[in-house]
Amino acid sequence: MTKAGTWLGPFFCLALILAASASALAQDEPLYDADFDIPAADEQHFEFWGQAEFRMYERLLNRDSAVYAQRFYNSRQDELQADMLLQIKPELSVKYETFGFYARPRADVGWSQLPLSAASEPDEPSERYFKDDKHWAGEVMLEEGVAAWRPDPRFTLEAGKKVLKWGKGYAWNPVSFASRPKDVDDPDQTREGYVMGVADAIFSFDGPLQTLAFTPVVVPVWERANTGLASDESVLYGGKLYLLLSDVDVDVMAMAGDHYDTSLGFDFAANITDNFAIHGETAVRLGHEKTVFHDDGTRSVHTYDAWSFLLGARYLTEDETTYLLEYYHNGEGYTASQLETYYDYVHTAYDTYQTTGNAADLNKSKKVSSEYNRSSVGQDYLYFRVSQKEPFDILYLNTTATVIMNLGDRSLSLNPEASYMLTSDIELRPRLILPLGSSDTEFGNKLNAARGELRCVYYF
Amino acid sequence: MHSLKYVLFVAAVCLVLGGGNQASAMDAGEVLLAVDRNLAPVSYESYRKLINIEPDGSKREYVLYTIKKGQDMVASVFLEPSSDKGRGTLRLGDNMWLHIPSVAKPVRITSLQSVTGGIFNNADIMRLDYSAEYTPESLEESGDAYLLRLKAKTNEVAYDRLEMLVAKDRLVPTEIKCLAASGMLIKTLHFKKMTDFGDGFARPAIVETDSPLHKGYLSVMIFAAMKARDFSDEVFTLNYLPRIETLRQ
Repeated sequence: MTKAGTWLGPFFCLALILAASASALAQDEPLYDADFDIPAADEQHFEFWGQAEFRMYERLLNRDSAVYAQRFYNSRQDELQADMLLQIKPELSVKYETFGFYARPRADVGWSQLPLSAASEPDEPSERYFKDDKHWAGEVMLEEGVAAWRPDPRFTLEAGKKVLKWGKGYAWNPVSFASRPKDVDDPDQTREGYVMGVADAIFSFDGPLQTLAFTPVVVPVWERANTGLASDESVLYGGKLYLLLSDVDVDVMAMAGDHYDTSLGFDFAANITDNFAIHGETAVRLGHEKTVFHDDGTRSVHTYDAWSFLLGARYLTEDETTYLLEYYHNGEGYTASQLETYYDYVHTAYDTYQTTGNAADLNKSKKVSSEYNRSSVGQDYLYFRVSQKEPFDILYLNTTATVIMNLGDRSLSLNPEASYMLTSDIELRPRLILPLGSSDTEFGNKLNAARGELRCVYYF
Repeated sequence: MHSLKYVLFVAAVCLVLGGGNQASAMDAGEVLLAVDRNLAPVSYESYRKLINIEPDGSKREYVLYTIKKGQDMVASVFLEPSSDKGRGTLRLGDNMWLHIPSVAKPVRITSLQSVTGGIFNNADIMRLDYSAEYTPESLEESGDAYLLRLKAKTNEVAYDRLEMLVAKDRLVPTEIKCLAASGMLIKTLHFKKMTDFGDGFARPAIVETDSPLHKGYLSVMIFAAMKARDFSDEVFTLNYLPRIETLRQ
């Protein structure tokens, strides 16, 4: 794809906007129609809906970052880079008596001006689909596909690929033992599930304990499914107990199995007042093994019980401004000094390569890049998000500013964004991500010095 | 349930035939209870279309499936448009949760928030019986209508006071003014198009809402297929919230 390809995105969005405007201008009818068709709800009914999304990125590379040094040490790239992604995500649902089926496949086609390679490590989880071609990448996958049997409202049995949504945290969920991590830059994005069997039994009571629900889970791990969830083939067993106790949501969860660190968790959420809610969760992963990189280029493995927790609060003003604050302690993460050691080593190794042409030290650092370059790699974070619904009385507009700070090294990411429903079918979402930090900090070593993006989403 | 309907029917007939003297036999609490039962069965399911109309005439429409049980359990799920499909809300008394399919666990929300944009907020969409949230303060007669003044039982309720105009003949509201604690008018609900939903149940099918805070905007709620239906309590739980749509028959 040439530079000309970068014009396709704006044209695509312009076409959507013109189509929506034409539709709006065509309205010449009574104020409203008092009759409406009830969407079909037959005994045997099939539904199909979904979304198509076009994303355009423009990124300014941080050519002084550790990620850049590791990936492009021998092929210097232009500072300004463009990316594009077309993503189609249909959803279908079938219901027949007590049986149901739901599926959400996903097809991605992406183009990146930056050369891609299978060996390169992604800078963020949301970039993981770029992995095959030099500039193009495509992927078709099933995010979720679940068959369900619901003989009674009190009992449900599900089997298939499913996203298990455990935890109360918005940006992070340390108690979500059998789920892929959220993209902290985009926590609302749908995720790929794991293959599992899940039961759900619900009981209601009068009195302080209003609801009790038990959700046992069986997760098989073998060479074709759920790889990465355990270190070798095994079957994981887990469960969650939910209680609505005196208006407080409480969950207790556990997961265990061979080749898997036994994990225990607890979460809660409650409204303190009508517009002020608090939530929290904590988890311990027993016998967690962490690879630590040393300043001489060697590695060692530390085994310990990793304890993580999250505390959060949400406050809504009368003007519909929502403040969300979360503190996250990542027991599996690295301290600021451990990260600094790694970043300093990479920078020194890059200097060595530039003067001698020897990339041996850079290759040593690459061996731990999957651990050290991943998202939320630090130990202590603050997440602060301010959302304003319909500012300046502009209906269907939402503006948000997010700050994600690594408290260990005081580096941060500043993410202003907006969401506007142009029509009930078309949404525009411009966004900017600005990592800020010095050369020995987490956000100062992200591949992008800045990333602007525009998403056009069409719902069908 | 049937005996209550019979009592209400007799009361309504007495009101029509007997005029003001009979009407004044009902106190404010009785009128409020009658209004609640005439607006909805104790437990029911219904479909609603919400329409937000902007000053330039452009509008957005949403279709919801709603179930309710008893005094304090309500759940709704958006069926249309597809951008909101599957977005579910659950209310248990003062507790409210929002489930967005792509997002993690249902999050706690408040009655003040709006899930659609426009004039409607969660309290309008997830409304409990008026008698569950408000205490009647006074009842005045005004021609063919009662003027019922209500005060919120707790601070958790979206509007501190209501002024409800109730038609004497059918004991259904024709207009409700929603006021803040300061006395400021927040919005006015206009009940229109008396409709028979079957099994002898009739109520206004249209509720138009305007607000001096949003001049030129109009929000409309249209009811369809409202019918009595019993549900188990387990349906009104966080675990079941993502599956509310499967209850549609």
